[in-house]
Amino acid sequence: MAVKSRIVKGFISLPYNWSMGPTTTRFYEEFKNKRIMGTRCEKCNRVLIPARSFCSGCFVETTNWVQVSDEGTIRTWVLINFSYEGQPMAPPYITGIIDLDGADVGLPHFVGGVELDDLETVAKKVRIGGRVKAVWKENREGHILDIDYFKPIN
Amino acid sequence: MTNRVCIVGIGVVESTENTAEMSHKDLLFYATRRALDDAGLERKDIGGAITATFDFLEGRSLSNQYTLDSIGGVMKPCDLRLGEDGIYSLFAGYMEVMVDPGQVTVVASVQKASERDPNGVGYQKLIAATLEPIFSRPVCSSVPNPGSLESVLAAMDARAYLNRSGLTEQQLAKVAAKNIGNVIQHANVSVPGPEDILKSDLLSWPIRRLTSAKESDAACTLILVSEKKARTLNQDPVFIRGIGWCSGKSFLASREQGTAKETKWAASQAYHMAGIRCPEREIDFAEVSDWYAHRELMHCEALGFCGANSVGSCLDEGLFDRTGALPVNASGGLLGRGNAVGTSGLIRVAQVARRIRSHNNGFKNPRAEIGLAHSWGGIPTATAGVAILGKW
Ligand SMILES: [Zn+2]
Repeated sequence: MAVKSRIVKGFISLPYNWSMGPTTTRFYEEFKNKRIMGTRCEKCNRVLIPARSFCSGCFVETTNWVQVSDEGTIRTWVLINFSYEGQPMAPPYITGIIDLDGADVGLPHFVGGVELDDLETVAKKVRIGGRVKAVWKENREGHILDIDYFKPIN
Repeated sequence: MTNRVCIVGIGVVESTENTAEMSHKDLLFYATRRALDDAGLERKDIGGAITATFDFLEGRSLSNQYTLDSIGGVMKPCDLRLGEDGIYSLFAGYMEVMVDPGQVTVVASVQKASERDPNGVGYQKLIAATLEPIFSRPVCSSVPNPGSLESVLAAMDARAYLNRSGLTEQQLAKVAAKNIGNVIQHANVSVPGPEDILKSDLLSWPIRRLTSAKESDAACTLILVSEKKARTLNQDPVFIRGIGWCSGKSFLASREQGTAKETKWAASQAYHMAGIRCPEREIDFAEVSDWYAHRELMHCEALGFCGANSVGSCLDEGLFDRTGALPVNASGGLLGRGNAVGTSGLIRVAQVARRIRSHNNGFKNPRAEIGLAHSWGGIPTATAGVAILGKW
């Protein structure tokens, strides 16, 4: 008997409770007071953000907390002007990696506060190496989105 | 063999250390830091790094990529990431050291059961998701209590085994009491007896709450080097004398049930490599998978620790006791210490290696020169791994 192969539909949903660990938990607690905290490795002197419990290069615990600036420079950026499933907000918006002053690791976040209608004009305001400053939300609950976005300055 | 592989560093973090509070990256870092300290090595010395974790257990795809920095493996020329029990990272690490005897290889695994929902429904869903979806899943996932699919499958296996071997529920309780008792070393804590075990909740006859291991958190890291390299280090090496692994059929219904053939085949490979002809006389002690009490006995049989059909009398005579001639799970096993699914196999290796290193660690049997570590992948897999460790 000639048959056409049938399809079985599948779907898996699984719950998890991921532990942040004490270091990340404190990092976010400090956000409530508009402080971006990192940990400094005593061996290589790098300041890691978000604060890490160990330096993966030197393989030692990092317990020395330091505050880094909420200003920095744009390492790279992208204008998202299309929709996809699970998107953090409605397009258009800009995602970038920010190198905060005093930190040795970038922070992925949004770049905002600029008109996004035209790529040419956006590119004049948002550029690699350009300076940005965090715009904090009024109500902060200890979350990466307590920073609304990073706004270009100068 | 001229170029033997040995363990020179051991690092373990278990649930007794408030692991629920640590992130799983932290957990693995602490285990690895301990292993490096134990071996007197640093990250710069690491040549290869191997992790074994399961994506669905962690809730991250490529979960092992995510933990590479926790074992010092970033930008190292040899790294491997396996979706298998941690004991497989030992096997892969063994081969890496054989290929490059100058290399220090880190093998590691981490498991955080506390990150799955506490009622265990998440894990039961995972068990359901391991089943082949067209024939088995529609039958198995429609059992009245979806929270206990694992024990339903284990019960089918246990029933078949009891039927074949003539073992009793009382004897399963004896296994659990032995292993739980092996962990409780303080005189003022009462050790549950077989009668207490038989009073524990019945999950799915004959599987009870206390005859099945409770899920737990753990991380384990071992450092492997060649014998030549080990001579340059201060730590006493423990030699890996034989390894073997094997998987049976993946389709539930085509498996015999109540047997552990994959363990038998894995063991015969490891015994051959280690030159062991009579395991019941040559193996001094063993850590074998006691995921369920009946599996310990099934595995002891498959590993050749007793003659056919004599596993019950060996148990009753105390052969497998801490003070017996062939102690099994003197560490407490999974029933006593908890089962860090996917990591527990590597922890068994760590337990055996630790005991070989030290004669005076509280064990009464002074003969602890050749030990066997065994891992079984659990319901519903048919995967087993065996490692034989020795002083030389
Ligand atoms: Zn460092």
